[in-house]
Amino acid sequence: MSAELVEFEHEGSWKGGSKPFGPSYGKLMMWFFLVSDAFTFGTFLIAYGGLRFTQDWWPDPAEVFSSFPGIDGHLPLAFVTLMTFILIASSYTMVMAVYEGHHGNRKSVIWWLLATVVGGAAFLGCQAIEWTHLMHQGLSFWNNPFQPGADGISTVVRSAEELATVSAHDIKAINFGQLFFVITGFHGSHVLSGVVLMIIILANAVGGTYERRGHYEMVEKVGLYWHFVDLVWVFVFLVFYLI
Amino acid sequence: MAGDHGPTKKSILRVLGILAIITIIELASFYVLRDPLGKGLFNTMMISMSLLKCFYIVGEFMHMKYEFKQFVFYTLVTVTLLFWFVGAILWEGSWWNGVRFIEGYI
Repeated sequence: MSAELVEFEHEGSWKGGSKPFGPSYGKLMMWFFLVSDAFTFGTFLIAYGGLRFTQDWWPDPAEVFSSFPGIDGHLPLAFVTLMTFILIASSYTMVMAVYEGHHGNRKSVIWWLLATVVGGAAFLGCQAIEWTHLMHQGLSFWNNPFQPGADGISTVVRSAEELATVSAHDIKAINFGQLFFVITGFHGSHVLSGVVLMIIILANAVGGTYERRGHYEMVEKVGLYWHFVDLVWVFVFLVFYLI
Repeated sequence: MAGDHGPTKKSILRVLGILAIITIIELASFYVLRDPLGKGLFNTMMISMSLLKCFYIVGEFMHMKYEFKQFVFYTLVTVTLLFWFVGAILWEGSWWNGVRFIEGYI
């Protein structure tokens, strides 16, 4: 029996090329990716919440994060606030790059993208300084030098010799280092890949690729990714340093 | 609505200012209000301020304010499920804290 092929008239949106949600294909896919990445970071932060609030003691962020490079003294959360402002500023420069892209000003797009790259690199440098300082104090995947003081509530840094005298069962918040380095590490690697992407886009803009293409939508897509990175930092900052 | 054609330099700067101010308020509250307020109230305040920042970044910087309503709905519903998950784990986590020291339980 021969099956008869029926030709359907392609009409309207079945012809293809329509945008049901509004944004173009590339932007929509970037949004889908960002939502999936939000779930990844969400699971990390949820694990942090679950692991932290089942313990009876946790290091006080005002004590742990109180150093500032170059300044000798106790400045709780000062350095991490600087990092937050750097990231917010780089988000602003990114928005301005996209805005200038919409208006077709190639030179302005290049300047604003450069500013964003500098902001991202500055954030990475600050994170590296923070990590190095904490590791020098003894924080690692397997060791947490931030232990309760004599009153059982306040946070004190214990040296390696003191920690060696305590039995493994009595060391508090042993997974603090793991949680901190993994979560900020994942965020930092997203910042790094964002900076790399932006350098590529910057090179394209300098070479005039987007002028030839007629639109700066690639800048917008990378901009979405960069704002997502900023957003994740807002929540990491909240969870690790403020709560 | 006036802003429906896209962001302007003024609206972008406005959001930048709002984000900076909220961050400063967060920091000031951390120093001043962390001990007077109870842990629950302080945490709620911090989380609400971060959610506020989140809405401004997604709305203005990521252009969500100007997109089609169905698209906003899709993102909002998906992320609401995520927030439910957070609440559920914190709820279950507090139960686990009480029970894990009892002989015979998990």
